Amino acid sequence: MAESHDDTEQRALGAWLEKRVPAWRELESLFKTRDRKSADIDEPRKIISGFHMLVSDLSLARQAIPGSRIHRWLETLFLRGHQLIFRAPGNTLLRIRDIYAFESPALIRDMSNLLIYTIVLFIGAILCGWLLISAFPDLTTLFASTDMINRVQSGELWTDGLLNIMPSSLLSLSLMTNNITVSIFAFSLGAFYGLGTLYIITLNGLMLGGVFAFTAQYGLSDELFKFIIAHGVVELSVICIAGAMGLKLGEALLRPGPRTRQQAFRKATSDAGKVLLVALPFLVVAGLIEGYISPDPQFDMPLRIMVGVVSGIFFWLLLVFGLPWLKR
Amino acid sequence: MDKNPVNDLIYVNSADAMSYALEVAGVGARSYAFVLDWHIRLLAALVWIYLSAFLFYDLSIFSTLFEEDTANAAAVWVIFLPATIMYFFYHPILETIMHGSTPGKRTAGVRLMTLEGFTPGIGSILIRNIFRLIDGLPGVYTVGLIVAIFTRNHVRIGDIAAGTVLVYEKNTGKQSLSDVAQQSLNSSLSAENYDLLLELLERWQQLDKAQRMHLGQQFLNRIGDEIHPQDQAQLKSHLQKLAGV
Repeated sequence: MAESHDDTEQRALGAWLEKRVPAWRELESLFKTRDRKSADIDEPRKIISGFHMLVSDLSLARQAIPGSRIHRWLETLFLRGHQLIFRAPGNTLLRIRDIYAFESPALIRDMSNLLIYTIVLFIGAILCGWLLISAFPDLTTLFASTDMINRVQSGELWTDGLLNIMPSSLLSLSLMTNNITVSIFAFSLGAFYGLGTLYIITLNGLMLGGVFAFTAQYGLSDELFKFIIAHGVVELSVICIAGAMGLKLGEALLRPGPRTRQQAFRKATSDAGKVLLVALPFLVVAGLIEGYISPDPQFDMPLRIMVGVVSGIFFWLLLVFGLPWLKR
Repeated sequence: MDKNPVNDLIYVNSADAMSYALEVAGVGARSYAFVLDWHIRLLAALVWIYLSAFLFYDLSIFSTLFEEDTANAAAVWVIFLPATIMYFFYHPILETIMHGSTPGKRTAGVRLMTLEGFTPGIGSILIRNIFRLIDGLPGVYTVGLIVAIFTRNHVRIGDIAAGTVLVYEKNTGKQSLSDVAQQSLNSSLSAENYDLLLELLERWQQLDKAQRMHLGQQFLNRIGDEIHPQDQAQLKSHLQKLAGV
């Protein structure tokens, strides 16, 4: 058979492969062992020296046999080694502990201005909603469904007898899902230069104020307050925090500073993600309170206020001060 | 990496001054993987709802489940909570467990990587998935799709936020690295011809008789082999001998 390739080159390639194949085989098996977290302390050393050899083999393969199957295999092995050696070590539980204890409180303090702006915006929207509905009661249809309006006009809140329609467990689950969705929307819509977040915060504030003004016209605002107070402190706090994080995304896009817009956006998202990791689980607590305590008439007002205040204080203490008894 | 890749490339630079090219997956591969995953998670959630109701309770429970009855409270959690988790947390959970992949992505031949060439961590995966809410707006992933079409690495907003990119997995066949190298040692062909031969043998089953004979003979002509096998069995056996398999 007449092989067109130069014989010398082919023989050199064969000799090279013959010499290197055992090393690659060993490295491949070391990578597999390493994936299973072997206790052999010599392994990391062998992996690193094997990886350096692999780098030079890959350079050679790129020159001699570009695009070949062996070249592709070496690249795959290289990527695996690169991942194993250069990726920052990560202990997920330790990372979460650090985020709860130190990183999130530091970030919250750093962005306290944005948080204050968001809370002021939310309170302003509540007042606007209140004034709007007080002055133009017909606009209630913007915020409340016909069923809600009819029930309030007949002297009862739409939340009365809620547990006759739905069990607490299902109510909690649907409220948690809804609240988490609203908070994530408030945050992620910040990607539209913060405008989406402003819309969500303002809309929620207007709705809350408008609904309070509407129930006040029928003497039911105290009842609404009684329903909201137990879960509302935490729930509204999380929505405001998610809003502040959304505005941070918008700010990163509008004023990226020394970074490119993409880099600034990525950094803002990463920071915001840490804060939300601490804040969002509280919506599960709020959902449970809203499903089990808020609609149940046997819980009286002082107990509801106590639940609201205690959960709120715990939430804000954790968020602002973290876990100060832990050390880095 | 192919000599003439049809897709965009991103380059990962390692500390050893070695740059490595990753082939960016386009909108088609991304959509294909998503549609597969969507079917899987929907099916998994529905199967759980019916299976858990059937195994732990009775299918008639669905008619009384939504009534206020403390006996049903546990049933709601048992039936719906895992199903909700399966549907909404399918991507973050599987992408974490499967190191940037999911069954749909695996079938489509793509996987997630960070721009630095690493498997994304749990934080990046969570951020990427949180942004599904706006990538999914106003329905059927319109925002995500438009952003993916127009961005350089064909990424949606979630990927931009998390610093991730969807890349094609390297097609290295089913054999191990040392097997491939060992076989090429046993063969007298050049690396290029050897790869061509392996490709042909891998696709042998997908080709019809005429194609097998035509391509096989074409390959033998290319390497200057003057043997002319009479049938496809003889041809295959000769090609396998040349490949050393």
